[in-house]
Amino acid sequence: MIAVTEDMVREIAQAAAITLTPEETAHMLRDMQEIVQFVERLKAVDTEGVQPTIHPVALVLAMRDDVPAQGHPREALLALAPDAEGGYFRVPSVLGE
Amino acid sequence: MTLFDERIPELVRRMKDGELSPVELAEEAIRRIEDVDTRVGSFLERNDALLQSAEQLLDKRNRGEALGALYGLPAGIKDNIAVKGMKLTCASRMLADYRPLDDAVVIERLRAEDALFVGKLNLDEFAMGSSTETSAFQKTRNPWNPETVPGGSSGGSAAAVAAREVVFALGTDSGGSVRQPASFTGIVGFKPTYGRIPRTGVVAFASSFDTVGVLAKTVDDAAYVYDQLHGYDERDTTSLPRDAEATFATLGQDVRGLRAAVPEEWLENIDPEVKARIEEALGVMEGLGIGVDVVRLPHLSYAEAAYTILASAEAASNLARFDGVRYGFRPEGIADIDELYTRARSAGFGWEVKRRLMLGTFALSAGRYEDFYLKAQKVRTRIREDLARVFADYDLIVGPTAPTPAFHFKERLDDPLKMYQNDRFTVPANLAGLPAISVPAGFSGSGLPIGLQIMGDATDDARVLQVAYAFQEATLHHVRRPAL
Repeated sequence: MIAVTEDMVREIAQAAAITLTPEETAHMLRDMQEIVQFVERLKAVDTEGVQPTIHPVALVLAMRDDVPAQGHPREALLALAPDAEGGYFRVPSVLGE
Repeated sequence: MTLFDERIPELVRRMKDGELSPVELAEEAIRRIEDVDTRVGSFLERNDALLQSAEQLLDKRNRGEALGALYGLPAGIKDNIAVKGMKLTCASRMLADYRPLDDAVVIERLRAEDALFVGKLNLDEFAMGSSTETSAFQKTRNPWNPETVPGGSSGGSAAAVAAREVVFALGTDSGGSVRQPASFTGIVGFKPTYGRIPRTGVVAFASSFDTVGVLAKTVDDAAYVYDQLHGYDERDTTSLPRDAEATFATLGQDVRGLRAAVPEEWLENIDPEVKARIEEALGVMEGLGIGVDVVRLPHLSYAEAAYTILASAEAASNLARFDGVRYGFRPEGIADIDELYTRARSAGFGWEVKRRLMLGTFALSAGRYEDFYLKAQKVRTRIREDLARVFADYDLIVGPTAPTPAFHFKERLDDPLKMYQNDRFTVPANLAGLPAISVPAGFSGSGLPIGLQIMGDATDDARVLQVAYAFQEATLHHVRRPAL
């Protein structure tokens, strides 16, 4: 049995790049405790020597001809961005002061 | 009786013959939406150019050009599928203003066959939910009873078809999101074999589960539309590299002598009226000459737990792309890049999405990966093995689509486990990539629709449709429609 703790919720939220208010943290803790307890029933299944399923259908490696194709112009793609300048995406400071 | 009660092949024939025009159908869609959509709430965006497109189709006929198989049919599209020129919101604030530059492959195929696009339909945010209540924008009501949900996540697609606002709709099904809303709204929802329909241009939720499906009022309509959608596309390397096989022409084929298995636990802990309708449906199937046996699949009761972990983990990975940089929501007054990521995601995503991203990140994190993610992948193998054993002896697996009819708003929204339980009969088909359909099987005492699920072995899409069609033709459940 794994006990989900408030510290664990904070750590996971940080890894998922989500901030939670103290109220939301408490709510998320309750929800996650409940869900994790539910999915832990999988422990009862004997999976000794069983291969994991990564994909539901057997796939063959598909090859295609290496033909140059025209993508969208840079301006059209940059126009979708919240902020862009001089042909680049614009973001706030990355390295700090 | 409206124009949209007529079967699709007949509508197409009448338009091709000039008895009816695409403009009349487009006008019917507009009229119907204006009459009922304030009460249903299916549409997130309507196509302003609908009439103009219909007129172009009319001109095309007048010029004597070849006309497509879906000529003039007004279709609705779930808003996680890209239609060039229209919004693609996924019912999320994150993508509230996003307009894609391309059509999804499925939209290219519908366009090539001269379908009309009426608009974009509501869904649970990023297709995560079973009631369409997690949409950031609006509520969609069940046309049979406005106090109940239309199901989800393709709730807008199902409600629009049931309310006759469109002739058919596209949805997506990762854990039951086409079949369960079809069951709740008294229509047909078909999820083909994983990979039959290319996913390129469909916003990824859980990539090893995501499947495009068709919602229509009858099995024959669904098969007819499906035939225009399946087949390999090189832009989706997970689409199946095989020749497209037409299914519509095979409907009506004799189903006598087929064998159907009913998982024992699918008849346990379900609503008594659902149980009664499904038992009647099994009787109808026997009357069609299909042998029906109850079987036991030892790992089926773990399907929901395995699905919850795997779909959340895949979602956590897929939704990492939403960072507020290249597209999507960006809040004001940001100091640095880390704050940009977290604030864009925290304000852009709703609670259910956050809950799943949290669970997925948890299941993939160091120290928990083996006990949760890897374990769930192995249980997925066990479930596939169980299903393969059944399909060695049987042609079909049948049972209810959902354990209950449509439930009330807010009834399950704050209880994730209760909400996830809705999917317990539909997720097995996604875990194993199998084709499955929900077809109307009657009503509850309070007049809510109940669906029968028919599932086949991988690539047996045509057989699933044939049996569903035989069932439909032996019953009259699909004929009743909501009063609205």
